Amino acid sequence: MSEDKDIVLDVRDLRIGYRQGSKIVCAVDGASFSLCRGELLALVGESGSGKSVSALSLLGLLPKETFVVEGGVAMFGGRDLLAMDNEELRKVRGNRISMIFQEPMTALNPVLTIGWQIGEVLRTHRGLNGEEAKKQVLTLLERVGIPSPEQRYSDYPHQLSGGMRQRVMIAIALACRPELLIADEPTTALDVTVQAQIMDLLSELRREYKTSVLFITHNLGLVRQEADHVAVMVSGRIVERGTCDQLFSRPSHPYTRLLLRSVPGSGHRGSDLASIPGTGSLVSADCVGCCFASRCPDVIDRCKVERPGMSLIEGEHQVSCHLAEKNGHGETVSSQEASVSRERSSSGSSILSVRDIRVWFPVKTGLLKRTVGHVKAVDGVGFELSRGETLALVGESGCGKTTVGKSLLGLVPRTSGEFLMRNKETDGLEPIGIDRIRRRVQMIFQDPFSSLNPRMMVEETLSEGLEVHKIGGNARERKSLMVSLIERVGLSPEALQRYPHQFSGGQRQRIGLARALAVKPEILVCDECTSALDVSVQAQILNLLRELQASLGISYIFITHDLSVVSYLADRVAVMYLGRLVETGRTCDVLGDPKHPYAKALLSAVPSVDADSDGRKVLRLSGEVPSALKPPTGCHFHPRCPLATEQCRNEYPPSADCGGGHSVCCWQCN
Amino acid sequence: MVEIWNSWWFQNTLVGLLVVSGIAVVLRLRRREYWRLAYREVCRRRGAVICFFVLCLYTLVALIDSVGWRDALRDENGELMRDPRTGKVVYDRGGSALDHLLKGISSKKEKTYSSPMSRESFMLESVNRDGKVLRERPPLKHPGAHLLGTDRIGQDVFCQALKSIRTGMVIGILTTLLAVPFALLLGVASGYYGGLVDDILQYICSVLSSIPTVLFIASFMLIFGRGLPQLCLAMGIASWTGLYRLLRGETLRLREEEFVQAAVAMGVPSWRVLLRHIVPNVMHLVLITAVLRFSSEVLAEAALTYLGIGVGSDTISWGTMINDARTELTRDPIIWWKLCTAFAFMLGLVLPANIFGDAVRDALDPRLRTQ
Amino acid sequence: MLAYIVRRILYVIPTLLGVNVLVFVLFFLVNSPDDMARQALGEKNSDPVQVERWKEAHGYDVPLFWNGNASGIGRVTKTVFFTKSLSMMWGDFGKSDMTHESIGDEIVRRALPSLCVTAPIFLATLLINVFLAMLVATARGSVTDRVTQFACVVFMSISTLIYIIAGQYFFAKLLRWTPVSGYLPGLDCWKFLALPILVGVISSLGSGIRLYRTLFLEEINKDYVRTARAKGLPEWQILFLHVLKNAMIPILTNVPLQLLMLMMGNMMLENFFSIPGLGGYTITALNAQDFAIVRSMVFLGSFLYVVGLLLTDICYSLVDPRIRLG
Repeated sequence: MSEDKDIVLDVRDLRIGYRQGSKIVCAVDGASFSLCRGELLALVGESGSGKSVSALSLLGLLPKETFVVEGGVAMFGGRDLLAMDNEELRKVRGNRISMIFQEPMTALNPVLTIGWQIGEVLRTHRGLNGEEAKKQVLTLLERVGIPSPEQRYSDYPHQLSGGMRQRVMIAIALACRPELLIADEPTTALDVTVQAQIMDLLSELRREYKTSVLFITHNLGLVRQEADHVAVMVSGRIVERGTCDQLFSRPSHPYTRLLLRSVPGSGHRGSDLASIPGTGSLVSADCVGCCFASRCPDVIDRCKVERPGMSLIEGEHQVSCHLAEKNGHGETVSSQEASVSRERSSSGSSILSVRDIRVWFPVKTGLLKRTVGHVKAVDGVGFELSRGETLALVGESGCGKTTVGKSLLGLVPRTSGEFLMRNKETDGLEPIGIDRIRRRVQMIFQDPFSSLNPRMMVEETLSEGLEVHKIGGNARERKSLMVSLIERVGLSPEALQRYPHQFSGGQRQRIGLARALAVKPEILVCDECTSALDVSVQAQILNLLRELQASLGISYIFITHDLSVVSYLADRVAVMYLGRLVETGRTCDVLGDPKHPYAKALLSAVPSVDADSDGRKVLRLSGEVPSALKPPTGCHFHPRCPLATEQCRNEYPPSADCGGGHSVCCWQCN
Repeated sequence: MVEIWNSWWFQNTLVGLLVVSGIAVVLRLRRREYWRLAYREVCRRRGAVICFFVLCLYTLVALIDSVGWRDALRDENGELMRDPRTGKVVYDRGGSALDHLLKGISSKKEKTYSSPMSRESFMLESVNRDGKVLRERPPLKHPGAHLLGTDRIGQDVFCQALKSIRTGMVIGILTTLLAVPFALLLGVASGYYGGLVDDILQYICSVLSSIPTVLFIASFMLIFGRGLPQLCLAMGIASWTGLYRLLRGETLRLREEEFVQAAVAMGVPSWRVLLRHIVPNVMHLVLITAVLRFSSEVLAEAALTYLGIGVGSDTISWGTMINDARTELTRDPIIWWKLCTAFAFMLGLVLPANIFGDAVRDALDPRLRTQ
Repeated sequence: MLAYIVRRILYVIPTLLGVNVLVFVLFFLVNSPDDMARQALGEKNSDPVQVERWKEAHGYDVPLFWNGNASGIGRVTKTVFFTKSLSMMWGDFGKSDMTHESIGDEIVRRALPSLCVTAPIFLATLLINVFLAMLVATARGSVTDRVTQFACVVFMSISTLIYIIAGQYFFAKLLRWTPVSGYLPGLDCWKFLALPILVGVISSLGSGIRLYRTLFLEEINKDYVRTARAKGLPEWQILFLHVLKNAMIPILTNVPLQLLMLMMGNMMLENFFSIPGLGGYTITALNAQDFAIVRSMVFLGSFLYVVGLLLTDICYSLVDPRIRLG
């Protein structure tokens, strides 16, 4: 297939074991892939599928106490990487193969200047002396888009923002013009607009340097946008590989198909997303059948006893599935068809009215700790929420969207503004005390691992709310309530007697949901409640949320940065920037025809899995979100806005109505 | 006050209460998954289990030594002696159950030093034999009865070492029991409520911790006199600040955790949040600190006693034993057994405590635990 | 930055005042001057006349807080609290209750011998600990590591008393390499100092290596070390530049505090080896029930600690780039 091409890396039958106590389980089980010069291969899979482990093993960076490379070859430049000794491998690392990591905040040494850290690579591998190295470092800094490199040269990592640090990491990685770059989720920790900048920079540089990239990610949108070839990993095995187009247009492995259908988006609105049961846990070494057999909806007997080989579909498109062998393309009639769309029970009358909320945190400095200013985390936000409606609060990190949710529940004190809720007796909106609010509004949190008390059984966690609000007269009544709750969220009653660490991330999020539902709230605040989950698990939770809304008529305030979730779930969207709402309206209006330049940029920065979005007009933002301590004068967005005028610099724009409840705060749209 | 403290029934009630509450705590913790897992983790290490048994042995000796025991006095005919007026049985001054058990050995006094298991005295004496004055070692009154020899005034060293166990254990346990409730209550409250309470507590803490520990204990003992209860109190006051800081910091972190936020959002009252969400999640730190501190407190007792600011010289402890034995090393031939016995018994407690403490820390430390 | 330092310095004053009041409460309220006099005079001689005379001779005959007999500012200054306790704030420690010598002079005289013992111990311990801990941390999980760790636990479990007694017995009595105890001023002191220093170093080795080992391991497991490896840096460069530079920040910034505290001497060593330092001074005073000296030493110790902590905080903000601007 690609013999004529210049193969940079050729990995064959890579097997890596993971020590679990005294036994060894398979972390990577016979993975094979290859990369040609200048090409980008995306390695896709859920967490724990072995994609990072495979990449780290190539450079000998796996901790030896926990991982053992059991076999395989990784040919790179005529040599087997896995057979090299430490010293040889060291000369390859950072020089001919380099790596970018996920977490830019911790990946750089905090006590060394960034100039030193970049120059180190050149000194080590190129043998440059201080002067020469510095000159090269300055060019590199310039090249990766760091303004005023001379000044930045002697900065420490903590003085740079996340995006800037990732640029420094790229400079380190590309300093020696490596033949291969391994990028391990390089943009996962970044905001979408910054992610877009970094991805643009990466693809620009790899074309310029003709570097091949092994791109590890779970973000299918990014894959669609950037990759030449894709390899899909499940439980340590590669189940399907091919060119990007082949894979997205004709996904042949059941996992790939389900994965693609589990990505939320406007196309799925009103219908259930496909979900994949179970988790991508490691398989034991004696697993004889297909690693996906236990989770596959189309499983046949043969899958459980015989491991499928790689079969060719067309061109470079290969799949490892018995079903595909049988009927050529692997097309099966999956039972997981989209269910009938349900209509919303949105009733129109607003149940909650948020009026001009401000949350300011005082900043104290100086000798006497005087308040010298305020971080205006939320600065005048107001919206209405109807019964059974989903309102999405969208924005990048630090825009104050989480603070809005927390102030609603009194978790952060608000500086001014009020919350009005519908009084059932008088049917009017009235201000409401914090105790009553906590009965009628509940919250689901982001991190499934820290949102449940590790020392409490699920039963105790659930009964707490019941006891505090005196729901259910006695222990027996409460118990039966809890059983129905836990079944409601799709877990079995036995779960009540277990502890949080015995559950997976998705299951914990279900428990968190059950806890919130225990007090029969009318409004649920979902704070990034799916962003820590794998796409397929996210799909399960989103389905559950939709179903609960349909049956219980709950309203959601959905706080998220993920626009695909918004377009799938939300009725209305409110876009936040630096503590203020810049655009609100119906989802179809805001996402279909955004008015505010920020909303436009945000939307175009999100990579989409849909092929038709390629022709979309791209609006790239420069810079990053400024500090909320000193927001820019006038319109907060003007320093990054391509349309900014004098008026934008001086005056904050008022909210203007574009019709149909669609309002926007921008001088240029009026 | 002192009379009540020393009275027979008070001592026994106290010991009984301690044992019962200890067992109750263990039983309660056994119902909790987290502690069961930690227990299993500790049990996986053979060394730690052995050390635990050694510690149990020491505890047992200390317990037996803490139980008061009185013998009814009998006359020459073996009849119970009775008070002539009230007709009640008369008891001796009493001692611990251990004293009672050791009566056989401890009553076998010699005149002065004798080496372990020796049949004759260690000191040469002038004996007039057939008109000639000879220097020889006279036979002991109880030859071979002293497993580890006797000291200057002829007391059995083994008995002293056994009696010292209680002093060491009391220091190690009582100091912790005094410091922990304070540190826990104040640390958690300080971290959770913040504000003025926090400021005041932090100030008190910084004042207390800026006095060097040894000097604080020294002045405390100087003012309140030497003795076991005073020493425990002094060490307890001197040591709560460290744990307080640790717990305050941990509470500050936990307060921002999502499960605490969820509980607050649920409308759970703050005392209940503290009790059900914060305290259970810092208890492992308390236990780790208590176990790791135990050994250093036992060591500190010996050093402080030697410096003259520990327990009084009438309390038998390893510190007083080493203090006595120090001058004996300059003799020729040297008298090594008292020093070595005290050293060995002390090591026998501190080393297992350290190893066991490490095992407990490894089992409870969340950083080493996989999710 | 400057505001931070000034505020930090200003916080020292209330802390020291707190210590001062605490010392006063312990030494004058709990244990009144009358008690002190009786303890000094002994049971036999403590009739009220004798007690009054003792108090007058030692300056304890004025009221505790408020002197109604005096006039003007004297109402405040002519009190026990002012002359005996508050005066320590500006370095006036007064005279010993027993020998009537000036405590301040004695402190100055005895600080040097104390430092001669403690400073070499501190420096040697720091170097040895860091070096050995580094070695052990790199060989984590190996036999060497496990053996060293066990040895550390054993070393930790032995009382300092035993180290001293054993040291004196072997090196001074059996081998006769050093004198058993004693001290000479001037350069000859090294003969007398060698043994206490050796004993001091050995006795703190166990806990030190363990502490630094965890410190280094914590650093080695951080993400930036993986980045450094991925850059292809030689292992020694990763350890001695990247890891050490991070790990040394908490170690080195602690040095000012340690150095100041060294002045207080080591009670145990000075007592055993008869070194005329501050530690020995304290012990002698304790045994002689000389309250004036003990109280002065408590305050001096706290003073040094508080100032040391201040220096440490300032050092931190200077050394650690993450704090420099924050």
